[in-house]
Amino acid sequence: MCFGLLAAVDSLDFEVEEGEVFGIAGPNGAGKTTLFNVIAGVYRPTGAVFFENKNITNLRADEVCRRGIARTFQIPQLFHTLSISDNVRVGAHFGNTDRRRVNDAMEHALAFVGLQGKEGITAGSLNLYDKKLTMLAAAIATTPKLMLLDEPIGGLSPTETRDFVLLVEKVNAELGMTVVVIEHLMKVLTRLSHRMMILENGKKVCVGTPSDVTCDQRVIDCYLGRGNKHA
Amino acid sequence: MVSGSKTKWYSACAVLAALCLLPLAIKDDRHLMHLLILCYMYAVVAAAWDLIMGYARVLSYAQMAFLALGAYTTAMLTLHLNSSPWLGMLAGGAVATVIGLAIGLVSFRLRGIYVGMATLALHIVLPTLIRATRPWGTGGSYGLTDVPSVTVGGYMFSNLYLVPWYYLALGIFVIFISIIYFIIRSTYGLAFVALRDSEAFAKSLGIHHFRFLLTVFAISAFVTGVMGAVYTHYIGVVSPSILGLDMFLLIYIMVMVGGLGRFPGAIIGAFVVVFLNDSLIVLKEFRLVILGSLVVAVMILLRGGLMGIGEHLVRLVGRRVFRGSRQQEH
Repeated sequence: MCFGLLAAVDSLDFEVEEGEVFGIAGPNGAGKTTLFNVIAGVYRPTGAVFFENKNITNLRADEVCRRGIARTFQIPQLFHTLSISDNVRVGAHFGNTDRRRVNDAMEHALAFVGLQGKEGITAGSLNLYDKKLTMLAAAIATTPKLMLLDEPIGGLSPTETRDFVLLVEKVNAELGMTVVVIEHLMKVLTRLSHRMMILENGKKVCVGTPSDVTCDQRVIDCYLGRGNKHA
Repeated sequence: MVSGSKTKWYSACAVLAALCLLPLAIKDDRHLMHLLILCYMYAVVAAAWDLIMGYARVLSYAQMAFLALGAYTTAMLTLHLNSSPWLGMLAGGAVATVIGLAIGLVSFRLRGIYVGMATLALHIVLPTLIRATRPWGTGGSYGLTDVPSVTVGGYMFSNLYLVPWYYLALGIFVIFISIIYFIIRSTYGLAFVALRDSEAFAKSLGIHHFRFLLTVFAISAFVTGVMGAVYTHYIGVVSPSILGLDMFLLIYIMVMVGGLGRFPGAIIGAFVVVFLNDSLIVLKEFRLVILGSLVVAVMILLRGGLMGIGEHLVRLVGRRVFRGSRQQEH
């Protein structure tokens, strides 16, 4: 994926297994969010993206969504003039091919993230944590098989971080969704991930289990630094 | 929520009943009757434009072109092919829809002001095209006169007795405004608010932006095309002046004064502007200056138009009531 002469993600090749939590980390500008945008159909790559053995490279963002890939954004994206329930309704209504399931999907998503009782509040007036919950609920309401989370806990307090991490684990364990998560906080990422990948300058540095990755000398050199050797 | 929509429903029925009974009160005032008929017709055109500009947020200047396409289609069909005016109206809507879809397919690949320029191109090219195709029966610069009036079961609508026209205009007004209202309240409306608030998020949740824009653009073009045809049968003539700045600005002012994207703002705007325009006729050329200044004033001072005043008042009163109830609690 290139922007003009700049290759943001360059000859990157990796696979995510069904049902796993796959973590992605790397320095700023490594191309993590660009990678998400390529998978989600925002950018057209020169390579190819396969989902459930089908080529989804040239699908639009809304088509990718209906194939079963949902995402959240690093900077919370919301319909700020709409209520929480209408935010989630958009996902339930447009993200599902089966229109009869709209209300069920909406109610379920709201209950799952714990936003019942707040449905009527306008999204623009929410605090950061509830904004992130609303964004996640809307994504869940599209009933995806794969969930892409872009720095889901950025800006949250330690307690909020703990709750959100539990929620992400529940998304994987209870809803059975495959999760790909970008996160800077290595403590959180190593706890969440079954496998991880480190990116630098749009290239894969290494892939493996959290313990493999954090001990890899190349990762320590480019990302963790010496102080984090025993992280 | 439920009681709110019920109140809305009752008040809409009450307004409709009053409009139905209005001819009894007006009696012989043909001028007033004529103005009301124009109100209904312009209101539909303004509301259809508002659907595109206010709700779908597309800067479209093709509205008058759709009106002209509908007008010319029915005039040519009825004059040259002896077609029924009713068929002509439908054909007018259909032609506007087809051209609308074509221009939408091309211009919606663009964004913002570029869509405005692409749609304005259609508006600008039409008068030249009409003049050039005079041999095909468009009437050229002179336009077409003696466009037949509509008939219902042998009864011919006449410009001497306007009551049948009044009810016809009211009927079409009710049907088209209901369609527009239904679109705004449907999931289309939800999709448009979502796309306006965050396009990236809306698309990631499965909204197909292009298809939504195109569908609503086509509906708006159809409604406008039919209205252009009805208008032509009413006044009996059509010429390239339908694409003049006068008409264009008048409808634009209605949308802006009523409040962009604030149903039923465009309708209220149409009624206000038609009567204001009529009362300013004594001022001759200063009329447009005053109307123009009105738009500038509304855009600077009253961003939400007349509907904005209502919202402002509700918020003000709401705050008072809220404060009052809080004081009582203490």
